[in-house]
Amino acid sequence: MADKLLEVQNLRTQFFTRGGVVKAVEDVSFYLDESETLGVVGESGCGKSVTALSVMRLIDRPGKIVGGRILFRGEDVLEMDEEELYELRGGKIAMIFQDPTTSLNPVFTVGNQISEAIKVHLKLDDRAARNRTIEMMERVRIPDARRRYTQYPHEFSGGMRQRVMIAMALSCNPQLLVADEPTTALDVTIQAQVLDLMKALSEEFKTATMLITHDLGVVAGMAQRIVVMYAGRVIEEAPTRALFATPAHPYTQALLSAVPRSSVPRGTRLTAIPGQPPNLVNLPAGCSFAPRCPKVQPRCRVERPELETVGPNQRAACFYPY
Amino acid sequence: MAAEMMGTVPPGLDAGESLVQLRGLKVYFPVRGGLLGTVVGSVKAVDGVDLDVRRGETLGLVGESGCGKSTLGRAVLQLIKPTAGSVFFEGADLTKLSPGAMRRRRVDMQMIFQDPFSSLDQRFTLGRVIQEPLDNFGRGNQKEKDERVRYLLQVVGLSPNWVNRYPHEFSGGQRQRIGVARALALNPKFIVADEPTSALDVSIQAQVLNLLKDLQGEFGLTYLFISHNLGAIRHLSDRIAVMYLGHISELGDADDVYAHPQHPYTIALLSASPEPDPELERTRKRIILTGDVPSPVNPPSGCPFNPRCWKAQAICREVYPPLEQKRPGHYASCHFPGP
Repeated sequence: MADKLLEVQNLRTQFFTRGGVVKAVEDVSFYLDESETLGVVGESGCGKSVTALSVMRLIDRPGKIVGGRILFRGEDVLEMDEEELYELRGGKIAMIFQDPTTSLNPVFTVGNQISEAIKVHLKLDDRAARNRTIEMMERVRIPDARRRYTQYPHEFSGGMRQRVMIAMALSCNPQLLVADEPTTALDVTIQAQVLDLMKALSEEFKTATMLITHDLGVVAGMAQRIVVMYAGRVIEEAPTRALFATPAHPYTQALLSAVPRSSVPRGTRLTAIPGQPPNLVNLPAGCSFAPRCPKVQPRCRVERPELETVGPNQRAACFYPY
Repeated sequence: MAAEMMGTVPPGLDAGESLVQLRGLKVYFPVRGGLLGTVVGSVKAVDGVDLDVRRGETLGLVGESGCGKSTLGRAVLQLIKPTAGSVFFEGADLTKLSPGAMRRRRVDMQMIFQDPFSSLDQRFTLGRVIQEPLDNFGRGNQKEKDERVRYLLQVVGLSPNWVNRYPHEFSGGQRQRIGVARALALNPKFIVADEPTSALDVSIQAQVLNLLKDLQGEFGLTYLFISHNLGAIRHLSDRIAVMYLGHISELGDADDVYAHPQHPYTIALLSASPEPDPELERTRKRIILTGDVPSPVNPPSGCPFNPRCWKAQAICREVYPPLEQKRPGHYASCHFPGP
């Protein structure tokens, strides 16, 4: 069998804080195929961003990857030395974040920052890098790219800055794009522009995308498959259509019915999930969702359900799925 | 005075049933520049708004960042002094009240903010946070105030035993409940809720939306609900006003605005909002607007939406389209409304 593009096996990432060990990511496994878009969804603190940062090995103290394997085309990222990581980050795997303002250096021109990455990873000279930069800025539909090459980040609007980040990310032909809440800070009409662009470019460049978001609407339109995380673990994994049509895990079901949407008549009560996510320092025994689950049984409070196949390509970590 | 004002009431709006009436409301912020810091222009955050909030309704005010919706909300409560125009509350023009009279009026109107954490004093216990409005207006003795605080905590779904805890001990959703309890302390008639659920996770957002809905029925509240989240706005609102660059571009019953949007901006906004439904997402036709929202310092002439509008004609660049009734109870400010 051919290697997957990315295969994460039993990943565990923890933060050693004064308040105790925060088990941010516990035993997380998932994969990505070539040129596939995988949605990773969950609420704040579920571990989705830490999972993404772990894939790039961008976890700093007090955090530490304490277990598991991250295979990128069969090579374990956790075994790589600094030089290999340098090749990997920004080259084979690129990342875009929620807030492009904090990822861009305010004292360098936008063109300068994009071409820097190109020079490093594609080993081009100044002139070729400049041409490639302008070409990429045009590809992400930044109007008047030649002039805007010499402008600074503050001269760009939020949507335009995110385009700069996408241009930078795709400039070195990465095989995987990790996008962490790429449109969360943007207005809805600008979000539509950026998502439209990301979709077109990932098809054109054949880049696989790991799209991390809290917005079920965004993944519904973008992802082929979806992984749902809760309290540091994957609790469901399914093709997009199956996840929305027949969610197996009670948390996924609850999440879907908590979103106000146009098919639900106005004024009906939303199905809120009672309580709040558990403290990651002191997780409950058994299933982490048990304290909030409407279908909870005694067994759920003592034993942890493993991720098991419940339907075609659909897996859920629940003793009583559907 | 009232009769004179009636003349400017938009057609179809009966002043009698309105709790709040905005007439020609403008809020400009000066832009200073140059060495001497002279005023070189102004940000027209709210640029001539006529709007009524009916007693007992939820009016949803939706728009993107910088459209002026939060400034409008603050100007209604006189937290920002309007540059021009009037804000009538139960018939009295708040912009003309003396500071003392305005202070007495404040009892009836409260605000809920987006970030409950920054709107709570970190050094105050939960009990003191909620009691503060009662102290400010000298309501009751300590025993009565304690009772009121415990009652309010119960109403918003928090334990009355938590009065001695501090804000940092609570989660985002709980903090928003604290903000709601505080807003309810003086039994207001009118609440401006500015993005009250935007900082919250989906599952917690649903809790807070349900709570706001329940409280409205229980306390007979009128809401001005400000949000960029079309799903939340639709869920809670009876009527919806869409705002773009300081102007109301569309106003109508919530269901009618969603089913039959008249203004091209509303059409684009609704089509851009992602829905958690893969089938719908796959088949829907999405209108992708080009460009960004223009600067409110130098807004385009005519219709403010014309540079991004796919229907724009010469007239749109010259003449501002007044807010007119296009369907029963449904207004739009557009020369070429409808699909």
